[in-house]
Amino acid sequence: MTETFYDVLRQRGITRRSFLKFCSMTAATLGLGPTAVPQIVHALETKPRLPVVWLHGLECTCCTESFIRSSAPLASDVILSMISLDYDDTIMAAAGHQAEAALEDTIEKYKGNYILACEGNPPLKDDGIYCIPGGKPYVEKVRHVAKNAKAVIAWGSCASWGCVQAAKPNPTQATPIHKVVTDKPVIRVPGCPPIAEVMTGVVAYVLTFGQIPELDRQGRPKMFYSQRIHDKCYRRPHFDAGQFVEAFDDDNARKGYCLYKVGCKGPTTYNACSTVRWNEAVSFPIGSGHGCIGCAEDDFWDKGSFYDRLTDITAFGVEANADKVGAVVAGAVGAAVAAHAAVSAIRRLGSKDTNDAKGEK
Amino acid sequence: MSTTTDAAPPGHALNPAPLLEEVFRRIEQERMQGIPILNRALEVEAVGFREWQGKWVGVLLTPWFMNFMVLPMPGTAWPRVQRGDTHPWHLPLGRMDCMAGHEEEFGDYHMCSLMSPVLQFEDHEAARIAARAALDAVMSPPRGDESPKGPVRKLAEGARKPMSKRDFLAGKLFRE
Repeated sequence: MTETFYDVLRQRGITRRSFLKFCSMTAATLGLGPTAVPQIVHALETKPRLPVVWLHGLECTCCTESFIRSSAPLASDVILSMISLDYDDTIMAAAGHQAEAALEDTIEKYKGNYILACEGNPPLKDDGIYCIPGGKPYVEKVRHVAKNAKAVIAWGSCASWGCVQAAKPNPTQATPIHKVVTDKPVIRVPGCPPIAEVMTGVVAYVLTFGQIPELDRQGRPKMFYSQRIHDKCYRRPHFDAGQFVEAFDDDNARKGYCLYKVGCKGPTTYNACSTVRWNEAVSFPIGSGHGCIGCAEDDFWDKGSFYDRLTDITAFGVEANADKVGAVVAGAVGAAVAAHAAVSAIRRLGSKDTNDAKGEK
Repeated sequence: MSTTTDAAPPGHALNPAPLLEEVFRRIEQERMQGIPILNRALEVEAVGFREWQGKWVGVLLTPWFMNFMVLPMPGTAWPRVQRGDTHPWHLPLGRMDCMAGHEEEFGDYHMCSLMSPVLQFEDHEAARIAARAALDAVMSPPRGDESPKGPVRKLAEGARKPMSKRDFLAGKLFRE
C-alpha cells in the first residue's frame, strides 16, 4: 500500500496542528470555505499520495522554483509530501539510465493512475532535435508518458501557451502540450511561473476530489483563472476614478495610483495574483509599483513592450475568446445575450457561501 | 483588513445616483481623455440605485467599467475599511467581497467590479440591460444553476443539514 500524504508528514515530524492549518489554507485557496476542510483532511489522511511524473522540456525551471517555495506553513515538506514524485529529473537522485528505468517503472506500476506534469514544451522542428532528454526527442517522451496517464498538467506559460521559446519567429517550433497530447484532459496552469498556491491548489483538488477541477475554454482551472488581475487589484478604485501614474517615480506613483498608463496588462490578464499574491501573500508586481506584464496570457512576449500602454484589447487573443459576449443586436435576443453577459460576470465573482445570505454583517 | 464599525460617515440622505453620474461624467471629461480602452458607445449611468438595509446599492455603468456599488446612508453603521481592502457584504445572492474606495466629491464607497473594460457592448442599451440583469442577480437569492457544482455542491449541501454538536465533534461531516 502506498503511503498517504499524512503518513509522510508525520514521519517528517510535522505536527497535526500544522497539518490542519495546511488543510484550512488549502480550502481557502481553493475558494471552498471551511466546510471543505474536513474533506481535505480526510482525503490527505487516507488516500494514497498522488503519483506524479514531472517532465521538463524547453523551460527555465521557474515553475519548479515556484512550487518548492510554496508558502504553505510547512513549506516544501508539505508540497513534496503531497505527491509521490516518482520521476522528476531536476530533483531526483537518480541519473542517466537509472533515471530512465525509474520512469518506465513508474509508468508500469501506476498505469492509468498517475498524473503527468509537464514543465516546458516540446520543439517540433527538425524532428524535435532541439530538446533531447535521455537520447530521444522530448515530444516522444511526453507522448509516451501521457499514453498511460490519468490526466496531464501543463505547468506554466511554456507548457500552456509556448512562452518565450515560441515567441516570433519561434525558430524551434516550440509547441504547447495540449497540441501534442490530444486524447487526455490537459489542465493548463499558466503564469511565468504560476503562483505556488495555485499549483498546490490544483494538486490538492485532484487528490481530494479524485477528479480534475472545472476548466474554462482555455483549459485553465476556473477557480484561479476566472478573473482579471484588474478586477481585484487594490489600485482599482484609482483606475475607476481616472487617477493614473503618468511616469515611474512621479507624484501619482507615490500616491499609489493606477499603473495602466505605464504599461500594466492587468485589464487583460487572467490570474489570481491580486488576490493570492506572492511570497506568502506579501505582495505582487502591482503592489511593488510595477505594472502586470501579463505573463499568464498567450503570446505575452509578442504583445509589445512591458511598458507600452495597452491599447488594443482584442489583440490579446485569449481575451477575445475568454469573454466573448457576441454581437448584441436590438430585440429579445440581444437582451438575452446582454443579460447572460451580466450573469456570467456575477458568476466570475465566485460568490461565496451562497447558503449564508443573512444580510449585511 | 481592519473592519470596525465606528462613527458613520456623512452618508447620502437622497439617492446618490445623480451625484455619481455627475462626478463620473466629469471624470470622463477631465481624466479619461486619450484612454484607448473606453467604449465610446457607452455613457455614464447609475443603474437601479435603491435602498438596501440602510445602504444605497446599485450598478454604476461607465465607458470604462461596470461596478456593483454600496454607499452609506446617514446614521447607519458603515464598515471602516482601508482603501483598496475588501469588506464581505452578505447580499441576497451570497457573499460579495467589495473593495473600499473614496472619492472626494461623494466620500466613501464600496465597489465590486463586474466588468472592465466594457468593450463587448455594441450600444448603451445592451450595457444597461446587462447592468440591470446583474443587479437583479445580486439582489435575489441564488438560483439552482448558480450554486457550486460537483463535489463542492455536495459539501455545501452537507453543511446545510442540521447537525448536533455530538455529530459535529464525532466528525460526521466527513463520514458522509
